[in-house]
Amino acid sequence: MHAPPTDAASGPPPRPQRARGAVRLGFARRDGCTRLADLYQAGSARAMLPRSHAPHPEATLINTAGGLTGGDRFDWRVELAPGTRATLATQTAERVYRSAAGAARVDIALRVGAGAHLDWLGQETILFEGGALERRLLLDLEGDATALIVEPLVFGRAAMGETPDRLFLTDRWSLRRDARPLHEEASRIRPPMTALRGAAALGAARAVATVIYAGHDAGDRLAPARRLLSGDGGPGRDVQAAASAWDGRLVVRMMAGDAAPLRTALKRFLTGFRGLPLPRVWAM
Amino acid sequence: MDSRARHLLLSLFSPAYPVGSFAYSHGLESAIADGAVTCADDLTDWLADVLRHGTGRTDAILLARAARAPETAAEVSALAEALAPSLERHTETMAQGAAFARVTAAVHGTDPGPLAFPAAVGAASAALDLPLGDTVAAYLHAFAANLVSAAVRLVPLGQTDGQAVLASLFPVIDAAAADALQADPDDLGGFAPGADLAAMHHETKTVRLFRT
Repeated sequence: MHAPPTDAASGPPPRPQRARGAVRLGFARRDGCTRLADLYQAGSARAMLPRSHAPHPEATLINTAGGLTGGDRFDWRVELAPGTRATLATQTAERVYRSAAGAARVDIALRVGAGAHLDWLGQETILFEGGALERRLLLDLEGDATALIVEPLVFGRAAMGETPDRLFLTDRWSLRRDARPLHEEASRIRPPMTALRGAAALGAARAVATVIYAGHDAGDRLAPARRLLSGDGGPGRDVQAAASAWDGRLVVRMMAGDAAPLRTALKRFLTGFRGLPLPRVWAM
Repeated sequence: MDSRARHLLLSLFSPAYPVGSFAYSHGLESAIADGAVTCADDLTDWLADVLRHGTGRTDAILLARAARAPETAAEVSALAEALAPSLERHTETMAQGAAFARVTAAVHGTDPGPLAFPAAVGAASAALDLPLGDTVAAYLHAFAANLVSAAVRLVPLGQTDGQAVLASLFPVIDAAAADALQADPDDLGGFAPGADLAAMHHETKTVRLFRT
């Protein structure tokens, strides 16, 4: 996919056409391995399964419309059958451009069967001035299923001197185990962004990330997670990061002055926490 | 407001009501230790953000939801529990909620079921027929007043300075309460990653006066 022309110094123009896209991916267990069992793609949404040396499938999700704007609608659905393992990553940063009317709507529905493990590794969602995004992420875990969910958010680009002030974000995550609430995230931003400059809110940060690991062993994984967030080779002073774990969930929050140090810290954390190299799209 | 309601609000949200609030700083202890809150002005900003964008806003919406539909209080409680961003924040809402439900059941005959703090208060306020707007404002006032008391000990600040900070937050409390009464389910949420990080950092501090 080509980078959108909006990376020019003039900044992003509105993109009035409405884009629609839907992807449904299903993984099943065959001969002891996880295999793609269902693939449906429509409109401006695509899924690719590049050959990789990973011991399980790694799928890349692509928005071919080049960003999101008001009225766009994307649906991503992933289902892992019992005993499978798969990694999903978005191909590149998702850009949320100025909206002429309404919000872009993104629905993510993930279902993970007993004994299965899902890695959902979203790359940065960058919100530009006037951007409006309504996102719902639903994760349903069955039995002893486990999942790692990552989504970073970036507010404008420091290098371009952008400080967006008029942003609308509703980002609601509902993680459930056997239909019971396990963890919820409810991020809601309304203009003006300057109202979030206090230290309890965003402070001077421009990039944040939330990582959730859901699994019965969340408590055991807290100490190694904390080591990856601190000390030698840790994220450094330009990134604030901390972790907590209880009742089968581990939550990591990160906050940084810009997207680049956040990404570096996140890559280090994810590589160590997963014990696996990141999908190639993350390496770029 | 009738005299019965006034007495109930003054007692339920008094620091003497035995829910153990004095033990919780909501991450403020680590924000002070890390230098994010060093004086009265910083404290005002921190608390205003927590009220507008953090737990104040979220709890107020959940409280109103449980009070309007007390038959869904258990569901609201499960949501409040799931919304906790860290172990200590989870403890803070669950322990205070359980104590509030227990004491209020013993004194006023309400349902003793343990619930997350905003759900327990919402359910009790419906059972006791308390005016909702006043209840939400009193809950937020008690939340802010408790954190001011924590800061008076930790920053440290003079008692009078602490009360001046609290007084300056009255309009913020009233606005957050009014917002919560108008909120629909999609309005739930806020954005206070700084406060969440402070609460998480608190877990690994070696010197701690507060449980959160």
